[in-house]
Amino acid sequence: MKKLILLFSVILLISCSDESLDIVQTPIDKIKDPNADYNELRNAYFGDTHVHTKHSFDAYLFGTTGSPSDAYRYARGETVKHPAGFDMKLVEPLDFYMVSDHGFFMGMMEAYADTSTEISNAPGAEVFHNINAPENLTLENGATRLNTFAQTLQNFFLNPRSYFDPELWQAVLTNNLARGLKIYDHDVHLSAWADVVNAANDAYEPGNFTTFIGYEFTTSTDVANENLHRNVMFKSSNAPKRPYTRIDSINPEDLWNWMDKIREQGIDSIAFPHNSNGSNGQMFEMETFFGEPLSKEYAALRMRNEPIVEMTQVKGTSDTHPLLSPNDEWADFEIMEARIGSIPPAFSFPAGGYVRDAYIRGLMSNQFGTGNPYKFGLIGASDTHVLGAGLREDNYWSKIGLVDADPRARGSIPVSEEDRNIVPNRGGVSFKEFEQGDYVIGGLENWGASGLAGAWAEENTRESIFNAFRRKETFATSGSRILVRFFGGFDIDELSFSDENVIKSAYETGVPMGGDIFAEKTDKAPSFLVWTQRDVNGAPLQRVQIIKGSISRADSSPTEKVYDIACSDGLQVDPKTNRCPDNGARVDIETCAVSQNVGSAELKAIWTDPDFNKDDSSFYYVRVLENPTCRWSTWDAIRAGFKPREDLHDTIQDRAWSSPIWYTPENAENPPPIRINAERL
Amino acid sequence: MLLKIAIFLVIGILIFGLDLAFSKFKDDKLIYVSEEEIYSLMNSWALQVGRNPNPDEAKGVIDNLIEEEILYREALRLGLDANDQIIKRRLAQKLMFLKQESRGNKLTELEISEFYNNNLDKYLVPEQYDFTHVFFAKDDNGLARAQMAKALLEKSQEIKGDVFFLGKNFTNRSLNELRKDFGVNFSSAFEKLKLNEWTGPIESSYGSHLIKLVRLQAARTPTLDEIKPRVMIDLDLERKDSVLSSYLKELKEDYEVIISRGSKQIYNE
Repeated sequence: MKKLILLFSVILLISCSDESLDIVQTPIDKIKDPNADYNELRNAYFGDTHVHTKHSFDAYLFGTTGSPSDAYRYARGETVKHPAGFDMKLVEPLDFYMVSDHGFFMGMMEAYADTSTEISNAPGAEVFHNINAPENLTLENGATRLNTFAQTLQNFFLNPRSYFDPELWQAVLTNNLARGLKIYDHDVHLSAWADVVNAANDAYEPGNFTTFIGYEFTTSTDVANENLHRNVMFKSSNAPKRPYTRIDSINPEDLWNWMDKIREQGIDSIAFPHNSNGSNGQMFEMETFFGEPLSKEYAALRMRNEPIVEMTQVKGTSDTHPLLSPNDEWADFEIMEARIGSIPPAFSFPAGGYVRDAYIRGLMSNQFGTGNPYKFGLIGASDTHVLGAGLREDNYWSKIGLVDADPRARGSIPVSEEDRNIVPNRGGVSFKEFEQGDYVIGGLENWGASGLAGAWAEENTRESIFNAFRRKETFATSGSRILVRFFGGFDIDELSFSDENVIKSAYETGVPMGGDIFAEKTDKAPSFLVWTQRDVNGAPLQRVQIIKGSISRADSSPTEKVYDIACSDGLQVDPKTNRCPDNGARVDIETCAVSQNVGSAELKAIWTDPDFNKDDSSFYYVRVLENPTCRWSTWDAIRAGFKPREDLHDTIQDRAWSSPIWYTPENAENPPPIRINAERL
Repeated sequence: MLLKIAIFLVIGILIFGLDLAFSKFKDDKLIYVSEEEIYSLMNSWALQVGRNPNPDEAKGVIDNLIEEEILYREALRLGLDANDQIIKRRLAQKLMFLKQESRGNKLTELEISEFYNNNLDKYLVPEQYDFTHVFFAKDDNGLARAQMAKALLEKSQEIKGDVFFLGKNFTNRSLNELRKDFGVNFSSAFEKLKLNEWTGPIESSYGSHLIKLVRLQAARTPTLDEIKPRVMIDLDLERKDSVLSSYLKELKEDYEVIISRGSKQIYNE
């Protein structure tokens, strides 16, 4: 590797064409369905922007052989097969979808497995020969794959070619480090990426179903391999000839600079990080990748390219952590505390890894005059590695194919002595004895049936939905299709829900989620309109909350508060505690039956901040909670005739989060006399 | 005479014996390693290692080639290729791809319009409804209020409901979209609605609705111009399939397939 880097630094000066900057124009003249809806007050569209197919090195290793086209068929409601052989189907089709295969080694694993390709003869590839032949698609075989992969990665993946290999010189001349690796076939890679691009363009049906060209920039820090993964989403049908990957650079700032460069060529794109929960606090650090202090330039670069964060997915939810928000009773939701990719699992430090904390950090950075690099909107997505996710507690197959297809392997039911060979061996499996037997522990039991992206867009087209992402007029859900309207402003309190044009008026007098409100001359507190509607196929709603965070102008200390603002079943918020009374919704753990006629179909309120201080920078976002239902692990258990595992939550309150609305006071950037609350930093 | 016959036989047997003895040097036992092959082997060796092989290494490379070829042929002779799933699938796959790629690339206008005409039902746009509704929220005694409102409507009096999240007036909604937004009970009521007549209350997941259907657009098929790109993609996919299936059909005629009696039932199902 060192040899390569040295070569590169020397030769870079004379380097010529870089294919990551070559744009492949694929004009598509698809006509929008003339019957499709256009709504200037915007519709909510639901989609999944984090989907892996056979082109991802790991998905193929997990047994996935389906293509991007198959993934788009799944999104439209068709049935596709899971690697373990069962059928996967959505309860309702989705409105938009993005296949986001890992950029590095895209397409390579399938080529190693196919023994007729040249690259399958490369040293190290032989362990992958025919791995996904039908006779090898067994749970036992799946269980050994993570180890095979980890070893091969260490031994072979980064071996450079020799100086005499013409490919090495091509690699140097085209500024493509990956090409200089022995185990890498450039043509295979390009054709896999072309397949991703073409499948998205083919499946796009403007007006009815939107696809995006995208991929995952799967990077991590070089210090302790901490997760810095993000997905890149392109606006149009045009894309670079090859994706910019972690082999080009592991520094996300280089990715953003690359996005800037291709934007200059007319290719707009945005990126969204995910699994900040497993980043060991590195995703929202108070410094740059190389440990430099934050700056306005850094904030602008980051926000130009990353206006969105994927805050919930199968590998846990990154709203907040009970250690960060000790006064939030609902903070303990699908918490996944392992560092991504750590084998065996290592603890991920929470501060800097959760979005609520990141919003606070952003305000603080802004107050110190270094801009706000964490002023992002929210979406959810699944990160499925098997073409599609079930997105429901009662329709769950986790996400890594053969490895976690069986409830025993994902720790929701006990595993007998004889069946231990189906349990994935991730550098040693641990078992824990509970009343009903031995269970696998190691992380998969803490994954969840999450999540979805909601976008408020005029119509179901690439342009319109992409613009919603840019505006941050988006919301995240843990899988349910809960609808959330959220507006803020200083005159919102004059609106009324009995007015049929209330949404139109809200757009006129206030800003929607993702927007900014600025200090007014008066001392009037801002007010917010929230209107939420349940998922037709989900549980009724229990309560709506506004989560407020702010930074004191006087001493830069942060505060955070959760307000219930609307309660189900006509109940009233207690103004002393800011909490709704218990609505009495219960779940029968033996059958998963839920209380009937409890909970609401819609909840709405116009709320004025009772603790407003016009000098303090603040953010506000909505959280909507459904009535409790059985968690996936409980469904797994009762279907197999067991009781739920003791150390997991039996039930779950699926939920939605809006993007925030930010309030900025006058002279927000004037740093006050610094008395930093050191504990927070 | 007898002696002549005997000599003739002896010579005949000798020739037969010699032929037998030498037959193992015939073509299927001959391995010819060409100069080009050696050259390309040495080349790729040099590419991987970074220098030319020394004589020992060169010999090793050629030996490897020879041994692989011998093992391959012996495996064939022993019939090891038969009944091997991987080899079978690989060969079948190769032929499949070759056949599929043999389809022409250019789609003519005639072919496109023919395909479109033969697949009209595939492009059918289902019925679409324009309607307005008055909504009564479930949480606020919706059903009773809706029934009262209905009675007022019948006396041509004005009524007022609650504001609905998704709005008041809807255009171009298919039954599938209605099911997605309102639930199955609501969408299934639409098949019986009469134009310009207030119907209801109809229950959704959110409450009770009085509905007036304003326009019903019958199911229709878009013109070819409207959906040409989609038709072309479909046609190309179909061609891929049809090239293969017609080829298979042709071949199937030469084969007789017998399915064991036990499995026959499964096959027919």
